[in-house]
Amino acid sequence: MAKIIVVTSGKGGVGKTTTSAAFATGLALRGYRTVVIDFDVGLRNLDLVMGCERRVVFDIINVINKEATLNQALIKDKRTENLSILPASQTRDKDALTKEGLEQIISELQESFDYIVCDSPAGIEKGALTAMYFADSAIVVTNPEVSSVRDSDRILGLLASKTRRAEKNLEPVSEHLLLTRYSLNRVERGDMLSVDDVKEILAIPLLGVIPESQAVLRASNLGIPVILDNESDAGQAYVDVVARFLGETLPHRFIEAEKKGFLKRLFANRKAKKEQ
Amino acid sequence: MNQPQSTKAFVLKGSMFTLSVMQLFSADLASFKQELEATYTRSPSFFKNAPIILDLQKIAPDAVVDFVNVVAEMRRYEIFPIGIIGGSEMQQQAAITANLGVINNTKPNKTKEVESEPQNNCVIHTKHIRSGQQVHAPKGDLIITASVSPGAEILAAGNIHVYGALNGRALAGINGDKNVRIFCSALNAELISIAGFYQTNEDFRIKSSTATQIYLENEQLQIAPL
Repeated sequence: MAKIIVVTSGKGGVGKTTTSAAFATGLALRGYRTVVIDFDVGLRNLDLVMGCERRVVFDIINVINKEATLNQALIKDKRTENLSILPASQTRDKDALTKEGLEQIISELQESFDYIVCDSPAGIEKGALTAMYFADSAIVVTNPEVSSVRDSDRILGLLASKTRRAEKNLEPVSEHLLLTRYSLNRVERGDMLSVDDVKEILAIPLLGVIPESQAVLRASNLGIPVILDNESDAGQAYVDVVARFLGETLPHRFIEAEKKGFLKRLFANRKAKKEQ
Repeated sequence: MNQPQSTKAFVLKGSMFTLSVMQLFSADLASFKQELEATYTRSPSFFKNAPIILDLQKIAPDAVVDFVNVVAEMRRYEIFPIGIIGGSEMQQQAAITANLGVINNTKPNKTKEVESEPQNNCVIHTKHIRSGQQVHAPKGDLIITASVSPGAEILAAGNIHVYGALNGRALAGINGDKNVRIFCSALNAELISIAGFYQTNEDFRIKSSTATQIYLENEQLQIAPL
């Protein structure tokens, strides 16, 4: 039985799609058969970040409406084995995405995959609620910033009440905090909420911290999930995140004043670029 | 033509009183006297001049109770038996003869005792109350054994106890009870209210990192450490 993980946040633009792409790729690299689904009907981005936008023929709405089979809609990733993408529709109406339709798709996917990663849209409307409904685990993506933290808190409330597990009184959806766009400098200057600040407000276990990184924008534009950029701090942080999710205990990097190491890496990168 | 009230000698009314009941376990006068003396010694003024009902439910229906002497004995200690409850017809007759009233008590009273289990209107929540959630105790107290996030709202007719940080909105005494209080382990509430008297957290006056209570005094909210 596949485990269903929703990547959600409430707030928009915090890194859900970046995380979904990186996390799903990371699981696949570890040998698990993984499918990542884009739930943002009308504003689909996952296919761009995964680099498969030119291979989208059918989407999730086509499958729900029985206009195509699941196999016709699934796109096998060219770079990573074990990884497939189910894109959202760009032209269809959001209302076409129903719980019943989704239930059927999920039961079909559960037979051939180990992990189903659901990339939720922003907000708390039908799209976000549908994306989280069947989840077993949730990765709550949060920026260290007041509005994002407040919206994540709201989402946590919904995860505890509007999911299948909540409605059927099963074991609750396991919650994991992923802090993204973290800037150590700004935290030290006192401009940004620290990891401890966010942990105190949200009170859920910390899965990882992804530092603010130029690598994310580069990866996005190239259509390559940032986890495949081994050199980048963000890429490495995502590798740690996947490892931690799978049960390994790792220290959190990029959040401590490793000033020396930080500068060393900075100059090393600059040197490498100059030499290119 | 209405009769003016001043010409009436009295009027009969129905009313309810709480009375002490002395439940007898035996009809034996000697042990009764002993027990009475011991009780009086323990608390002499507690029963002074108090009207008492004698409960005969626990004694055998054929036991002969010497009501005249029982009454005399009680009056010596300044306790005034005024009637009996329970007992057989024979015992009731004897009581009437001794100038005691008879309260007609049948089984329903007993079953009432069993039925009226203490009604707990208290609502308890053990999970973190998240932003956007609203928690309500319409008739009693509200107890939360976790924190309350900003953007969450908790309401109670009675007291509110938060064994965690209270960062949201808390409204106690929503049915008008001014004597209720709000208790929390840490306070940074957005709004607090007791019986409709409210205060928002401008100037961060509603802030504390230690156990705090909030109550109403002269219609002003007081915030004090516990």
